[in-house]
Amino acid sequence: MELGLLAAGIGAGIIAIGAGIGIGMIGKGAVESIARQPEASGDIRGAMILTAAFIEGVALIGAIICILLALGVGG
Amino acid sequence: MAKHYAALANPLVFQHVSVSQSLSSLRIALASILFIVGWSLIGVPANATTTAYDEAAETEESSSPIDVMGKIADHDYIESPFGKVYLPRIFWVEGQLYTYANTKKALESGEFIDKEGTLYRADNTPVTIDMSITSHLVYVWLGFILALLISLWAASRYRRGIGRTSAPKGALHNIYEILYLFIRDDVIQGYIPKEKAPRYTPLLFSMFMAIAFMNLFGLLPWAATATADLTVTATLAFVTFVVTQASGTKTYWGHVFNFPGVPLLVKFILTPVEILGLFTKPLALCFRLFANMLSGKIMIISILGLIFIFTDLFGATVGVGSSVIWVALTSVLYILKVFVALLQAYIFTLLSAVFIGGALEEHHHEEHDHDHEDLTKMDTVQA
Amino acid sequence: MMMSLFLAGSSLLSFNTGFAIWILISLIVFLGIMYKFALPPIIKGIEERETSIQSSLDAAEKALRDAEKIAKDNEDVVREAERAAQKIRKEATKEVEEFRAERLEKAKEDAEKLIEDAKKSIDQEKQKALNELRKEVADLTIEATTRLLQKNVDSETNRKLIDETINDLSKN
Repeated sequence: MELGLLAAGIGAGIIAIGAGIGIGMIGKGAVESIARQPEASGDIRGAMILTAAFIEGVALIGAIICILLALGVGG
Repeated sequence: MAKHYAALANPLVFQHVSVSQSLSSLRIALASILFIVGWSLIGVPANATTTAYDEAAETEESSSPIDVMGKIADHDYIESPFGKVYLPRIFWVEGQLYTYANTKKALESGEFIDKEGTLYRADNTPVTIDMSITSHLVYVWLGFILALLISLWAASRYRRGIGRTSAPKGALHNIYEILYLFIRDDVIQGYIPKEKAPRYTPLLFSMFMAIAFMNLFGLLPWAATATADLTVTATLAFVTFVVTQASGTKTYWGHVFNFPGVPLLVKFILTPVEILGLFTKPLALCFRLFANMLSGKIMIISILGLIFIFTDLFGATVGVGSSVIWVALTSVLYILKVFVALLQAYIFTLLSAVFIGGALEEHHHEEHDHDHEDLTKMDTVQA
Repeated sequence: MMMSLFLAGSSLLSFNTGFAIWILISLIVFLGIMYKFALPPIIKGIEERETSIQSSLDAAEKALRDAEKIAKDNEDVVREAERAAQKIRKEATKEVEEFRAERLEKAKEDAEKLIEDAKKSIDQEKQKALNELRKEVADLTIEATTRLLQKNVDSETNRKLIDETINDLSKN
């Protein structure tokens, strides 16, 4: 049980790092693109939200696994 | 003029996307950590017989300061400012239907027995289908009803000519129209071919309204977040899945079963992956909404719960004193949650539109189509 | 604790078929009402307004173009009229000038003619007076001579003589 909690905590931290890097890179790319081409900001924004949503999806699935670990459902 | 509104709505969404997105990953981690810390600190007695029902929960309340899971789990009652309202229970057991006014009545009738929180028929048969009306179902209904009421109200105004011949009047009407135009122009027409978009506009806009209201209902202090329930989001995603597959064109199915332009050996690998992708897309859709709403809820409960945990650990003075921090933090989180509630409804609609648009694709004409493919691929990979 | 967490966890991540059936039913009802009653007037109303706004924008643009054209036309007309007026004025001035010159000429001619006529009539009168005078003079002379000479001189011969004398006189 305690190991499950530990695993969940570490897992959540790693998820945060991964999602943070991923979404940060998307934001960087999007802002740079908008600065370069302000007239295309609408399309860039849509693509940015979409991609960020995908990354968030992965992160949240990871978070659910962490919750499962913390709850001890897996073992 | 109409376009103008949509353009006005755009920057609004944009400004908060980056903030909330980057905060969401932080939120996930924080929520998980707080949740785990909270649980270990609360320390539910090992011999406590917890049940999903109220009677047991009441006895438990005395030993634990806060009940995180109780706040987010589905119940057989709804909490209201005036107290708990117990909901009817409906069971379908092996071809027989049982209905009771509430759980207590079901137990009193002697036809059902309570075994560690799960109800069984008196002869130990498990319930086949539990059609009980639960708190989450009530909030699903409330979300639907509010969306319906506002839409019918707006419809009556349009029928009377307000908005049809003149500009919409009043804040609510304007907001409604901005949302409608935003969903229609930016979300649906952006990803679904323009000539087919009108067929999907009512469905996706209705879904958006319903999800937005369910999410927003979760912000009420005593209310349950219906979208923080996997069953709800899975059903919504199931609708998207059905619509996507039903509107699939020849090109779409060709891409699934017989990917053009690759050798036969690769097809053997690609086809299962594509078939898997059909299911992972709505699955990711359902988990995204569920986890987003759940994490927000857990986080608010956990942070407010810290007041009681601190009181338990260091005494009432520390608990009350530190409450200033926790309440301030919760207020900020609440503002964030309003945006997240709308944002997640938007993302759900957007991704539904993307999936449907991908299925509607006729033969690749331009580079545009490849963009869509890339996105759907990405989703396959992530799932 | 394990058991309670497990129960809570399973309720958190479980899929409840009965609940899903309820949601599907309510979703179908919800979508049905939205499709049948709520959304058609909204969609139609907004589309109608969009088309009306678009058409009025188009109409306004067309009206603006028309107005510009009319203004241009008007300007042309005004310029044309001005030009015509100037021409008319010039013509009128010229005509008046010509008329005046003509009248002046005619007046001069008339005056000259009058003077000539006068001169002519004066001459005629003078001639007439001279002739009369000559006749008178001749008569008087004849009478005088007759008286002087009495019968001895043939009056015929005398008259001839006197006429010659007068003619000589007038020649002198």
